[in-house]
Amino acid sequence: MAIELLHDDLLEEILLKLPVKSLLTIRCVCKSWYSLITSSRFILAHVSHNNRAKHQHVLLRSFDKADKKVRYKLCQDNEYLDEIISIDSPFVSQHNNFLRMVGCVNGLVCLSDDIVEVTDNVILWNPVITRILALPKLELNVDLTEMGRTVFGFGYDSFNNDYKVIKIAYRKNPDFEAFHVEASIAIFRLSSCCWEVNGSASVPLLDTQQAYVNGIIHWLAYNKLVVGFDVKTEAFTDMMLPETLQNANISDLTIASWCELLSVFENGYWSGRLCLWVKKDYGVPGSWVKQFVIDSYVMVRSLRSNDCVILENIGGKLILYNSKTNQFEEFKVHVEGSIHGFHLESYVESLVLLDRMDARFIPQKSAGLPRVVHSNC
Amino acid sequence: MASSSSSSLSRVVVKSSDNNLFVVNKKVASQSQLLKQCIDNMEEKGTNDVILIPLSNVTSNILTLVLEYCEKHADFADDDNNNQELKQWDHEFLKKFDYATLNSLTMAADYMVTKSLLNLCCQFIADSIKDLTVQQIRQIFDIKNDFTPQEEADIKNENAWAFR
Repeated sequence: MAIELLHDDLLEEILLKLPVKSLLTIRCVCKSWYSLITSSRFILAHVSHNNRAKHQHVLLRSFDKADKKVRYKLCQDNEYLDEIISIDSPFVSQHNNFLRMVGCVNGLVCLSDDIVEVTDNVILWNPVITRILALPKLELNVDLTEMGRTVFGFGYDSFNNDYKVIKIAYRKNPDFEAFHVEASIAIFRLSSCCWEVNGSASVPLLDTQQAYVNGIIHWLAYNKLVVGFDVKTEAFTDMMLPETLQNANISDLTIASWCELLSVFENGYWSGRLCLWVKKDYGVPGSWVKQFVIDSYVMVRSLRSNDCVILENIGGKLILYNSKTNQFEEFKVHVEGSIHGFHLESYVESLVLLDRMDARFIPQKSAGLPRVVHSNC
Repeated sequence: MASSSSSSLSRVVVKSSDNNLFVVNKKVASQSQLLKQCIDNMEEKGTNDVILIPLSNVTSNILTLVLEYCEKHADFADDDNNNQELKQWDHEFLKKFDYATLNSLTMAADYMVTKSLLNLCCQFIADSIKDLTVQQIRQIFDIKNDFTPQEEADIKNENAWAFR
């Protein structure tokens, strides 16, 4: 039966509540629906709606040793991680089996081929809509033989609705615990799709792993600070680690976002005791609280949104630890014979990049690092 | 729809687009921000007369439904949207209707600024169309396909997994 047409803003209210899969289908209904769903304004509203409604999924990476294939899976955020879609990785690393996940915000994943050796391959990827954007090459005018370490960060500037990648390239091999190390800083903004080289700055030497919390990208620094980069203001901040971690070895620590709070794990792989520290009041000096302790030789591998942590024990098995019930069980879902390459992230699916003409669509079963025309800037 | 227990001052009369009158308890009417605003304005002026509010966009059969919803929700606190009994009632309430009625109800909820009903209707429609095919959606919303077959095929090819 033909019915009275809803006006556009009501139609939009309904479409905002649909999952990405349905929206991809529904784009074909007619040209006006297509324009609405692929508009930047709708994509942003859909992100906000999903974040508000806490529509969380899980993005899981597994590496199958037998066929050497890297697979990503979008799963339901439930006990069994029910699979929604499986995506063969469209990327091939130059030095490793898979690319490192720098960060993941609003359904957009930032990958960097820097696990074994730093390369220039940094990619923004929305796996659900299968679109990728390879970042343009960046010339930092640093003599490669003098190049020390490179650290990337990925975050979202909600004020300007912009996704940013920061590259911190240290010159020479720096003194690990120095407070000030000369580094070249460059920032990539998705809005302009180019790198802006911000010259040099003094930044303590950072570990590569990031935790994106409160609009700030955090890294552990080898001088025992937590260094932050505010994605909106593009300014660096720093804060102290919990007092008892002042003497810890940075390589024994893992920085993460635990229930949307900045947190640091002190791994127990060698010491036999794993501790989770959580920053309860962001911005209040101190305010680190010990959340739980596990007396076992384990290290943290991934975090779940439901008070659970996935640990790796010394025998190379994955263990699911529930911090509420204090129970352990072997974690077997989607591991596929190899825990090498296993990674799990909380994931909010989105349409981000669907409005970008320069974001390439990657058909499934394609292999090789996609060639992307770099923008001129 | 009229509530018999309240005094004349605590009631308003709402007129549908097809000229039917509904006597509504003020607490029930206040579920609609549009009606609440009218009541507040009249009270500010110190009117003691019965207030008549004409709703030129809402027919009596749809108004009956909006008021049924408002009456149920008036018994619950504003922040009680997670109440299981209420959630169950909301679901039973909406699942009786066809798309035409749901659409009209959505538009009435929007016009009468009854946000929780608007949100509920949009979510209900979204849930019921999310697994439908493009063709089924065109039929329901009476939409003409203005893509060429090639254009449509190109879009479908792009994210074939979504069409499985």
